[in-house]
Amino acid sequence: MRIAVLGGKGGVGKTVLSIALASELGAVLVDADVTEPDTPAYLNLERERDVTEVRARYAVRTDGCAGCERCLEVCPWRAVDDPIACDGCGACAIACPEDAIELRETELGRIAESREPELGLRVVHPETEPWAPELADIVHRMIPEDEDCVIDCPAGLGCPVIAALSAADAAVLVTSPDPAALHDYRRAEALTREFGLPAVRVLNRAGSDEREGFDVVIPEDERVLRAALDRDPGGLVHALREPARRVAELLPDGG
Amino acid sequence: MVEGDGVSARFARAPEIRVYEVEGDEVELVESRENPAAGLPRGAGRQIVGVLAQLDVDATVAGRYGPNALQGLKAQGIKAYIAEPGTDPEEAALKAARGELPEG
Amino acid sequence: MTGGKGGVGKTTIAAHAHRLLGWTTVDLDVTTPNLHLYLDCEEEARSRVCLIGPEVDPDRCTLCGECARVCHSGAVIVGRSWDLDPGLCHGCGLCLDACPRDALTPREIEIGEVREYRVRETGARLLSGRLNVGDRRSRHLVRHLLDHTEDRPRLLLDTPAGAGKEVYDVLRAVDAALVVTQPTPAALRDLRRLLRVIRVARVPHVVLINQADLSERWTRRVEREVEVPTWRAPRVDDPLGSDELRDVVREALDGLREEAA
Repeated sequence: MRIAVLGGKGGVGKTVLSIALASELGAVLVDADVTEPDTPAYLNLERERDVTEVRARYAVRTDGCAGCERCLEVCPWRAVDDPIACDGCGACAIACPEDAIELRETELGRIAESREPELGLRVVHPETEPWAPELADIVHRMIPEDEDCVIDCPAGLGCPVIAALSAADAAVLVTSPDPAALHDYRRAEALTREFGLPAVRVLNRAGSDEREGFDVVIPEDERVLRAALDRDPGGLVHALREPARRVAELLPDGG
Repeated sequence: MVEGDGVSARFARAPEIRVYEVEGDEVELVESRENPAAGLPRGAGRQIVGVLAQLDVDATVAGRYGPNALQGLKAQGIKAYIAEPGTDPEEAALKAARGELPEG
Repeated sequence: MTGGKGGVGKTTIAAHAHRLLGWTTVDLDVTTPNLHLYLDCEEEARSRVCLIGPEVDPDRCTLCGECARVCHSGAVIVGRSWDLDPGLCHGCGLCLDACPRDALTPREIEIGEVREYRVRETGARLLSGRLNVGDRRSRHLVRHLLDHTEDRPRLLLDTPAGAGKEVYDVLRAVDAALVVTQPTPAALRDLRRLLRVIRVARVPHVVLINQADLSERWTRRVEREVEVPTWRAPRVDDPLGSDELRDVVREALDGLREEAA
């Protein structure tokens, strides 16, 4: 079973719940936040191996360039000669009448697999430049072929989240009770529905708010914040063990 | 779609394409080639459909299909059959021709 | 306004900055736009945002496949039929130029919309980009918003979370950046990566440490690591109504003006 943990808004508790859930299920944790991977900030990771390299192409003009700028017309990002903005799609090379565009390859990092010794957790996480292109492809390559995993999605509902959902068997939707988080959460819910995935809906850091429509409610808990500040993975998982167990029970086939 | 000596679990990113001609019980390997879409960072699911359309095949067999690929195959009138990964490709081709495999 | 990690208070700080400056503001967090919920505002207009893709005339098309050969995203496939997946089209227009029989004409492919609000308190405009749920072309919508506002001299741009290419696109378009963070290990980690992108984009910037009183230890670490001026903002009960928070944002904006001068 592959479980995507998403919510739309950042800072609602996706990563900490993902860690607790992966620990509860004995599943691999996949950090799908390629531009800002956070699992290493919560866990004490010991690197086991490189899963794969992350390479990218970028376009540069070469000596044959006649200055017609057709390449820039077809590039939405006007990124020719800018490796940070270029996504390597190659449209400029197809468009160039002089065949003067060269697509160069560069290494932007790797996907690593690490172990969190205290929790006995395996974590697959990206170690790339933040400007790596093809985020969906990177997410697909991080998801293990034949193993249960929990995919911790980034904030927003962009490509990496869509990639995670397209590979997942179930979703865990997380929000906090504030209006902005609930607004983003409803969009996350709509996206999950498009993929036809069963979902467990979690209200995190709940006060005395409206709880209708949520399967699991996690009250505000200072211990989670303390564990994050102290980089204490054991304390983190301990504080979230009960809600993680309830989420696991509500997943199809109990996770 | 083939990986190693069996049907590939993945459709678009399978390393090899084998084309079989099936006549009754006769299965003949017509062509084997590297999948040019296997290493593409994006759009592999669609590009491979383009390759199969040019090869003029009637059906394909893989372990699973992505949504982009399925939509493209349907538009090209290519049937998408599912077989257990590792199945002998010849056997899978025969079963596909007889319509004995589930569709994706 | 940018922040790296989500949930550090970037949008709250952006709302304060809008009220202090009274500038046209653009919500570029297009997959989850919510700045309009932080400001008292009314919607005035909506416009669709479209890319230009191909439409086929089946009577002219001979299935020669020239268009599919130039389609790098795999949106167009030609075999027994001409097939477009509009969700994959990036609007480059190469297929339209490639067709030897003029069988392709431009058509609109909607990716989202822009909602224009009037903020009651300031009378200024808020432009909010909303990508259609499930669409993968958020960067195109960000680009659209940047292109349609680039002639305005005073503009407040609220970036999405993260430090990827969309954030870089925004940073390349601005004169200065107010970076919001929090004193936690995760936020500091994200801040480091975001600052790398900011340095590549060569944007003058300052850092506002939101909820600095969460952890003195991590606040000090942020201050030690960052090479630009920093401000501490307190944890408050009502962040949007807090005069204390507003005053810190004002000081940080003044400091940013000096950095950018």
